[in-house]
Amino acid sequence: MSKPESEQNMDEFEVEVECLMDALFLRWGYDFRGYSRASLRRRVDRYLADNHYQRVADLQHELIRDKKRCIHFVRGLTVNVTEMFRDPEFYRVIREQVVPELKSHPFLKIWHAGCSTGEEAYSMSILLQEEGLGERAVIYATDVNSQVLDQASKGVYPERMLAMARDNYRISGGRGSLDDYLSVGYERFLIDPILKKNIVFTQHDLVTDQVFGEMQMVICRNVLIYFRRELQTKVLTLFHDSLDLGGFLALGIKESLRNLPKQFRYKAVDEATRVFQRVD
Amino acid sequence: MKQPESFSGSTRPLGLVVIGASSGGLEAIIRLLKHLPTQFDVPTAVVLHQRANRASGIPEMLAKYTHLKVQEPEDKEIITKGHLYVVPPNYHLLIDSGELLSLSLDAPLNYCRPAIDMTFLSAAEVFRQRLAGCVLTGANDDGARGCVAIKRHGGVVLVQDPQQAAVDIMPRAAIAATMVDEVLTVEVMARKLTTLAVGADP
Repeated sequence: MSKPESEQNMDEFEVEVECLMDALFLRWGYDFRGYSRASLRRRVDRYLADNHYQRVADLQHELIRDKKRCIHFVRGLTVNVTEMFRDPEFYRVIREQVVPELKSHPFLKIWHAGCSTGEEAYSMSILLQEEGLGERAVIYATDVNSQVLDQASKGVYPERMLAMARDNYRISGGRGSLDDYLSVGYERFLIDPILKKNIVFTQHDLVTDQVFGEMQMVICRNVLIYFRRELQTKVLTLFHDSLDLGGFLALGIKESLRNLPKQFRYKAVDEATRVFQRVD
Repeated sequence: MKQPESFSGSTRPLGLVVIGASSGGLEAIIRLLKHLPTQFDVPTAVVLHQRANRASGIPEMLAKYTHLKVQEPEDKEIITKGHLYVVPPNYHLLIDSGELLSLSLDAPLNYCRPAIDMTFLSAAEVFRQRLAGCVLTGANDDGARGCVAIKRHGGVVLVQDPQQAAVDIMPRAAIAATMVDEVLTVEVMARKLTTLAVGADP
């Protein structure tokens, strides 16, 4: 039987990484088989170096037998970095073009998928407060990695991130001062607990878990870049099925709907910041 | 046994060119582009260290000096002839299986994002002997590990002559890391890429 060309061309390390991912799935049910090969390779490569493994086979041997080690490894594979008001132009578009439409809803449900350590969920919470939607909105902020969710629900961040956060907030069209929403001390800043009231942090795996129902907006920024095209299609379908008709879908600045199933229709609210609206 | 043409030593048309540059890099890249003839259509990816977090204006600037179609790539775009891909600020660019462009926000490598090593390493794995990596001026050693990988996978490494480079640290690091194919001025590098593009030996 002839294999597809891409598999014939796999080199040794790639074969090892693929086998490792199969092993994690078979043994523990962690499914990274749809993750982008290039980024998996880089992350496995880095994990081997940081933890002094000579060979993938040694790592695999241990991960199959040691659940704790496996959890450590999986956390390393799924950590994504973020910042408050990341891509401030995106928040400006939400403020100016999406909020006016959201105002017509008596109750708002927003799903922030892949929220990581929570900075962007708090950013959205601040924005909604300032636009008078704080009382009627709930943000479901999810991530596959329970460790980052713990950090997210604490809402404590290094103070060195604050200068950029203030800049981003200002560029995003913030109506007040970012410092009104946080307190600073011990080289950290703490998000005002009042902003947590309408955020629900909960674990959700885009690869294996189900639809998150009837959202007015789904935000998933810089997560799809780690997925292969087939998995992107699956996850975009999941988002589609989670969105109300007329609901908004926000992706990362360099992500696209190119892998969306053809029958789903969206119009661009703002092409540059990748904000779309479901139209069928 | 007769080898397929693309794998024999004498003819291996390039599938991708990757260019890494840092301090003084914009000017060097412009000089390189100016010397590429209009028939040159090998997809080319430029990794330039930048301080700016936001829109850089670099694609617009480079477009003035080349016939190639200049763009910041979107995630999972198919690598296409006649395009010059400029890595967006603050992302790593990876070359993915299936000859796709993949973006990543993984931690900085060598204190850099974009990191030249990220692009070179991943490109070497996918394009192997159909890859040419070019290291230009710069003040750190990003790219050196990538050059090692390119050579290991049978690709070509061209390095800007350190004496001609605005900052010689990056070219010297690449030369120290591996047996690079040639050390040359960017003008000659452009001619060399043009020869390699059609499958002549380096």
